[in-house]
Amino acid sequence: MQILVERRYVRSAANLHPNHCSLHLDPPSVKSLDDAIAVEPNLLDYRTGHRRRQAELFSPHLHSMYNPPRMNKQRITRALAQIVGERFVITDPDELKLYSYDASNNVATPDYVVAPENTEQVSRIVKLARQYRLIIIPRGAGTGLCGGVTPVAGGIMLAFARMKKILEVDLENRTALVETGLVNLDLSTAIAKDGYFYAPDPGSQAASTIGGNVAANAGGPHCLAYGVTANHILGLQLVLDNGEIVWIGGKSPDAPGYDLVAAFIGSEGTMGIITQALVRLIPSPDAIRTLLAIFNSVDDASRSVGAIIASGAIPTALEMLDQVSLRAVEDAMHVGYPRDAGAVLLIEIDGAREGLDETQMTITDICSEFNVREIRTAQTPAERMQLWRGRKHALGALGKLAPTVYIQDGCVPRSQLPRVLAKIDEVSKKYDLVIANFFHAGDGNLHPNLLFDQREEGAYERVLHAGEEILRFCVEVGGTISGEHGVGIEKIDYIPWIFSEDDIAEMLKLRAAICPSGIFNPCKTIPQGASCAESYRARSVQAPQRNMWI
Amino acid sequence: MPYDLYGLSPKNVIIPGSLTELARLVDSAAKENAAIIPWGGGTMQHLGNAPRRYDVAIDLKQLNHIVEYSPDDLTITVEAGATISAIQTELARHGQYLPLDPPLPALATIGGTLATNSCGPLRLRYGTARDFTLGMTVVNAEGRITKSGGKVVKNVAGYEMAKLNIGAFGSLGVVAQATFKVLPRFKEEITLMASFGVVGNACKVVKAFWNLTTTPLAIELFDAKLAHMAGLDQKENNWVVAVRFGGSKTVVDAAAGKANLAAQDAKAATIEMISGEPLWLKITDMPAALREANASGTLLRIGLPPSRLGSAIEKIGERASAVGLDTYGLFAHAATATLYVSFDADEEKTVEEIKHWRWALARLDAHLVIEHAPRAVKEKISVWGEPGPEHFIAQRLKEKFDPQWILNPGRFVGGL
Repeated sequence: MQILVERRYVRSAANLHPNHCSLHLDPPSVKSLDDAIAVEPNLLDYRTGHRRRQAELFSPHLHSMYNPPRMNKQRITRALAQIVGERFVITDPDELKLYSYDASNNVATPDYVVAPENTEQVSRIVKLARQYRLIIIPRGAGTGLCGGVTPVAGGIMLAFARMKKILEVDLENRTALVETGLVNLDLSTAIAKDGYFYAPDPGSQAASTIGGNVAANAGGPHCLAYGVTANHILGLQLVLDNGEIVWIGGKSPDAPGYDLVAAFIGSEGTMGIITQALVRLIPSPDAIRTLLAIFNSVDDASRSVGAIIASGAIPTALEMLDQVSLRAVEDAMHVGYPRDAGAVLLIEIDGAREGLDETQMTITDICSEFNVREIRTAQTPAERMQLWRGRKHALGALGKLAPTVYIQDGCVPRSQLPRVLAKIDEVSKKYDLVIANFFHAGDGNLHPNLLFDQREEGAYERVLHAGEEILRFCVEVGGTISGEHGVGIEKIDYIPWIFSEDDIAEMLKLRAAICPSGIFNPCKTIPQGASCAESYRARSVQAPQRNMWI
Repeated sequence: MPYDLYGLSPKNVIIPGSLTELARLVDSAAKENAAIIPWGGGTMQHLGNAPRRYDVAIDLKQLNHIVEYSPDDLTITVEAGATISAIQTELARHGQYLPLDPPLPALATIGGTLATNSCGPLRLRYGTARDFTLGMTVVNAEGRITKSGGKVVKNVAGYEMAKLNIGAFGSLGVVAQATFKVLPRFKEEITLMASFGVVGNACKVVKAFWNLTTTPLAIELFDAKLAHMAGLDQKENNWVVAVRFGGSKTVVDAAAGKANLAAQDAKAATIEMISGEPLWLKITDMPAALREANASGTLLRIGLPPSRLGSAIEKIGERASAVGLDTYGLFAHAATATLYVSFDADEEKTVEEIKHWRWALARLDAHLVIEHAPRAVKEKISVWGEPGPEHFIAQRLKEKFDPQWILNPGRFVGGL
């Protein structure tokens, strides 16, 4: 316990506000978690900002379950090297640091990073982990936004960087069999010449892997018409917690048995290691048209979204950017968004070319009903790319406004969008924060981006309170806590907002059945209660009261 | 007796009036270790094995309400006992529909449809219920009411319990309520029906239809016997392919034109344009019609990759001729693909044929399920086929979710 606390303190020191340095450079001797909290009641990692999370991360119970005595480290390293080769085992602390990040604000370092080459090696690594009682965290590209690949208690991180082959493309049956380390966009690029593509297109698709997409049930702008990752996976090859390699699903429909493929999609690496995926391919559309609808107010724009979907002229993508976002994008990238617009809708329609005129007219008419100022149509592929650049790189553009961003991912019924956007505006004023909204309006999947400077005292606290207030409102209007980014660590405390203890217990039965040892990515996704950290039950989650630090 | 199965009668038949009552019932059953079998319209109770035990029949007909419907959001929450037709009627009042078209929609309940993962021709365009179910409420084996998912179209919070229970034959929990995303109705629709002398050409046109720039709603292939059963006069032509399109008038007309060309290319003997529901109501009911027409015989359902449909049909035809077997009818959801074969033979021959086809079709990556057969046949040969090497996972799931084996015990794969 002491060693770990020291490490954390030293690491934090580099990022702390100067006033706190003296306290942390001289770590007290703590023999237990209670001691640690007694000494520093606001034990706070400026990266995660969550006190409770600290408590869980350092649960002595968890560590004693999983941490091997030091002397085994060399033995384990040698054994791993025997499986994958010395080159592909990382234990150097500086190199390990590279693997302690994902795209969220959670940071923690694994004990080992291993890059297997094939499923057989993955299986042997899992068996080794069982032998030495280490946890396993599978990792694709680490683009996740919820701490899904953050190791809560060291362990072995399985990096899939070397397993990225396309094993088979069967155009006649519209399937492809791929290794899960394959980058999402690389798959579509490889089959584009044959007139097909892989539809789920999360914002991270140029970097994220199929395996990560499956584990998170990734969405993206085009899932409005094409569906999310879950609608595109026909089969999976898995390594279970006893090292056994199984294949589930296949090219034929209605294989007798439970839909086990579904159990793994969105399971965030908590049930098994996904090593290969049989995915569905879609024929590239006959024609695509991209429109930019410019509105004077967010309210008008959000009302037209519901009307467009209800009309039947369902676009393949329907994205919204509010004024804060579109100004940031325009200033950074000059893609042609008018700075004085209240909001813009980026609308894409595709399909048989003869139908597009009519669909476009329907959408245009609806936008007019809601006071659209102007609608521009991309006339060339280059113009289309330009419009999309603005949306796809919006997050990066926000970097000009503030050094740190906290991205939320609430999903609400479309009809509630105007209310929720008004609430977000209210919250931004109440907490004195700039909040930029750009999101998948067609799905009701919001991405409020709370902008701040984490070095500013009290800023992160305000951001967390503001974020929770927004998310609480999303749930109140009938929505959910995560539309596509995942629960991971980031939102695990909010699961009880939408699921009862019975609901959670039922889900844990699934996990216990498939991964009885619990070694895959523990303490993520579904709160595990006593088996994970006693602190969960003791600190039952409520929305924070005003001024209460949780 | 109405709730009898395989000669077994339940000791009690209970019709709960509410979700809470259903939960209490299951709770009492669990305490008494009584085996329960939920009933909807009974349209799919012929599937699966005989139950190991059967103490209580729970008829969900009174749990038939529409819990919540938001036409603006295109989502609807319904109780398990509502029939497909009742749901569609309500949705139609707002110009919307649920893309789920199993056989006998006036009788089939949504609960049973979900539990058996029944689908119809629209599967080609929209997938199965797993693809548009947003959330579900299940009463578990302890009588607790549990839910998963939600009301929104994108949701990654929690595990996908709904999908696990869809197609699970009630063996992990009793499906009580579900929320779906629905769609606005098409302005126009059209069906092209082409007949062929040779199955090879019929399969060629299936492929051509599937690859048109407008995705068809459905592509169905059936033989002359089924055409006759559906009241479609096909004379000597042996095979019929029906393709359906929906959308605006421009889209539908253009698609029909292209389909026409494709059918001519594939040497269709006749080509007809038909509009309206009546034809599709008949096609949707074909599995039920086949079962009724051949009540003492056998109905098989074969799932296979769409590219293999032609070979499968040819193999079956060759074998049938070779052993002197007369098939009652053969039809397929051609591009997904699911093939139904109905035939009649004595018990021994039936078992022999099924064994042969399971072996022959396995090479085509196909699974063969016995949907309907005389009890004696079902006792001699596995209805579901031998479970695969991953079956131990299913066994573990059953042990966790229903350790007392009170939920529809024995009906499902591997005797679960």
